Amino acid sequence: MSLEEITSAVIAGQPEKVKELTQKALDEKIDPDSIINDAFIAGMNVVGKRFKEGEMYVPEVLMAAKAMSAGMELVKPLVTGQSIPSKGTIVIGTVKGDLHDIGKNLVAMMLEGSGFEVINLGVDVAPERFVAVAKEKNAQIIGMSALLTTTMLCMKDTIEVLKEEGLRDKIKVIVGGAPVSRDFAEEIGADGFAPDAGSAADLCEEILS
Amino acid sequence: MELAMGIDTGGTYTDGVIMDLSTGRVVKKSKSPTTHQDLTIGIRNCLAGLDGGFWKEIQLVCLSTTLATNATVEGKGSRVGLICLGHEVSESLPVAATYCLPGGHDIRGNAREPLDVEKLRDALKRLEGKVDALAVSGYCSVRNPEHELAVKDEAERMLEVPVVCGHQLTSDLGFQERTATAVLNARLLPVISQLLDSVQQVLRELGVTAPLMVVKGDGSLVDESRARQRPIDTVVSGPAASVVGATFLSGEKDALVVDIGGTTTDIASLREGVPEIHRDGAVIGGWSTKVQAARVHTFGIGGDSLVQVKRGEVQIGPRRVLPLSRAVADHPYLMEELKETWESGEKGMDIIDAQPFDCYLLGRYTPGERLTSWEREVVGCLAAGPHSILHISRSLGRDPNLLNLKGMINRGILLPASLTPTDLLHVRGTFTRWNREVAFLVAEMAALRLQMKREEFVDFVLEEVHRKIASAILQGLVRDLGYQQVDLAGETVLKPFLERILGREEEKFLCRVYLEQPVVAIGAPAREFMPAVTRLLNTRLCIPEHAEVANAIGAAVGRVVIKGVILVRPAAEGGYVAYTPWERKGFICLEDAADYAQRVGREYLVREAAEAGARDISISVQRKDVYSHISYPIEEEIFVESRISLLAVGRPWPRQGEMR
Ligand code: B12
Repeated sequence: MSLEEITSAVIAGQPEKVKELTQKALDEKIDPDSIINDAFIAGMNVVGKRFKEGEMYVPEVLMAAKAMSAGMELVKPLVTGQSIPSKGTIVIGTVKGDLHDIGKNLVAMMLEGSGFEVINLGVDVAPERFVAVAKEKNAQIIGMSALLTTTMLCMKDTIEVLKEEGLRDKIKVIVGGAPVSRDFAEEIGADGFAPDAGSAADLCEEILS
Repeated sequence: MELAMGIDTGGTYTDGVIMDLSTGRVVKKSKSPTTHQDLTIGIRNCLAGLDGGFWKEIQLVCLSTTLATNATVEGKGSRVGLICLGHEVSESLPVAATYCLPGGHDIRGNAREPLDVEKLRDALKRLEGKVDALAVSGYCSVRNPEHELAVKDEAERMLEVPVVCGHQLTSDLGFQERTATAVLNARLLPVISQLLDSVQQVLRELGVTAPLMVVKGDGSLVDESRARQRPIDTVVSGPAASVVGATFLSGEKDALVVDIGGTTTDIASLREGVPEIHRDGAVIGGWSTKVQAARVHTFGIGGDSLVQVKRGEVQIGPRRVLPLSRAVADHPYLMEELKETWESGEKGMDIIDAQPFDCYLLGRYTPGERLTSWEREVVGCLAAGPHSILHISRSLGRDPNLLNLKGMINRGILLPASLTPTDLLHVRGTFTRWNREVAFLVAEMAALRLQMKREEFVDFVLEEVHRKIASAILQGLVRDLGYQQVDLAGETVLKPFLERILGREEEKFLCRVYLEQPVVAIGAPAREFMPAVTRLLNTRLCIPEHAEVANAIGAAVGRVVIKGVILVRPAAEGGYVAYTPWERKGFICLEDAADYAQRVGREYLVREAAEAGARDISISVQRKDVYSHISYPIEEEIFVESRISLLAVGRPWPRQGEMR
């Protein structure tokens, strides 16, 4: 079987079908890593792009994400079971005052899929909370998502809390969300920016290498 | 005539200078040893050397002192109590007692929890009589100082001791460093006051009635009364004073200052008359602080760097040794020992970690320090005076490879004397203060190991020294640009370019750099080394006169500089907030907030500059609105913040007839 079938099923948002195909792929001894990267993440990348271009709408995106999670449930134990050493710990969340979590959850999934340990703090996360959890879990990266122009500036707050606590050199900060630009990321002093979930994983690997 | 006196109590010497500021002329200069037990003795001696009947005409006295630094390093100072609000210190600080109480703010300056007045009074009661000063530090206090100020109020009433708040010493984020700054400042209060009292006493005795000012870590001056409140500002002022002094002597406003000493080469930069400041605060006595200090890059290359010939290659530094020409000047019999080495045929032998012509002197030995029986033998051998390595080996009956002196060298019990660039200058004849004969002999021996002629060897090594200094300067500039991790000499991709920049290679292509700034060089070997270095870097060189008292001159010609910043940011609830060094204030519209910030910023500068002792103040208040670009859902600019930069520069000069 080809991984493209799984990819299409992810894009089409068919959890049952994805589950079935994934199991088949696993039975055929296809490398779980490859299933994650070449099927799931490839599918979500397409979803992300189509959504941006207005070819897909929110419910469809959610279904696609659900479909991917369904497949991921089968693959993840195999990947973590192999005890692939975690590439690093990332604390991720949507900033204070912001409830949009679809994109952020996609990013979290992608990061998990590519071997990071992800601690997802959910939505409406205060700057102090990001820092406290990162400190407690010895995370290397804090990832923040914001979808509203009014909440974007909260990202800067988190970076400043890191400074106040003397942790700015130790913990890297990456940011994203539809309105966030590279320019903005630089202005607030973040270490990285990614426009979509696929490149977010690359970004984290680059930062930690 | 506008006479100003500059005094610098440095680590080794106390320098003094009287300058005529109307002409920039050095009228008198003097140097005497620093007396660490009591700095005023050294200052008194130094001033004696400045006597020229000018005392009554002196209009300003400026002091740069290592006292605050030394006191911090040595753990001297008063007993300090520390009150932290809403956060604990992560590294222990030199305090008598710490209380961590509820309070503090979030990053936007909203109180995280109310101040607990009952608990505060309780803590203060327990501190009563046990401390001479109190330091107060609140979480995010630079975004809202109300809690620190409330504690200060209460503490001053209850304890009647000076109270130092973190937000008054810096507006930077960083709780730990801010707290350390407040604590160290509190500890230093009596230390600096004592010094200033006795300096004023000495001045009065001489009949000097001019105001006294003190140099800060950034090279600017503050009035003596201000320095008494903020002694921490006067820490690490030496490097900045030296940069200001050196560039003043050279007449440059923008320059790279290169100070070549025996052990190290120090590189700093002056922009528009002000030394460039280290981005992070200074580390003092092991504590990271928020103290502003000149950014100085230090490299292990100097006149007394060890020159080693090993396996056909020459290595210079970073270790410092005593130049053999100097050792022989002090102990002429060493020449005989080395001649023996030369004649014995052992001159070419390879010794681990040493060269056949090395000599050793006894260094400092602290009684009580334990020595092995072998180490005692070595010390005994050198008790009557230094000897060459082969002499030691023969009289102790051990092979030179098995002498095992490294540990004793590291502990400072033995001081090695060996071949240095200073010796090579003796061969060349451009610097001949000490013994030339030994320089010839040793250069000959070292040259032999490379199968070179002596003169050829000298030229080769000195050229390497020039390259090393040039490369250190480039490395310093690269770090200034923010590339902290880049090691130029270690980057293989840069090698073909660096080799050509430094003139080691010319094959296929040439590569040159052109420094933006001219170089002002000070230090004993500057005249010998720097012309070749600046040729490599294609820039102008200035080696000023009187450079040996550059620090004192830097003090005398310093200016009063006050800096600050006010931020105006959108508030989460809507509206805008202005964060000033003394309060957090809300506004409905941006223009009102920015206007307010500019107005109070100007008032702040005028007030601070006057208190610091400035005249002829020029003030700049600049507003910069920062926007950032977003592309979704529509292309637009979003407002990030308004930065109001505050800068006041003044002359520390009393107007005619306004002398105190
Ligand atoms: C779905 C949605 C909602 C849902 C959210 C449901 C949920 N659980 O998330 C609901 C209905 C609750 C909602 C509410 C509101 N919304 Co809404 N919402 C949207 C909508 C339609 C889609 C957002 C989305 O999920 N995108 C899909 C994901 C996949 O894309 P993404 O988030 O950009 O994420 C990708 C990248 O940005 C990146 N990324 C994201 N996060 C991160 C993090 C890191 C670290 C990295 C590296 C990368 C990264 O990777 C992701 C995957 O590729 C957008 C419009 C639109 N077309 O975008 C409006 C939109 C974001 N909402 C908007 C508004 C105004 C609101 C409300 C204020 C409406 C109201 N008046 O009540 C409220 C606010 C509620 C609140 N406090 O947050 C505006 C924002 C305008 C602005 N610029 O400020 C938008 C743009 C609509 C519009 N055109 O006006 N909304």
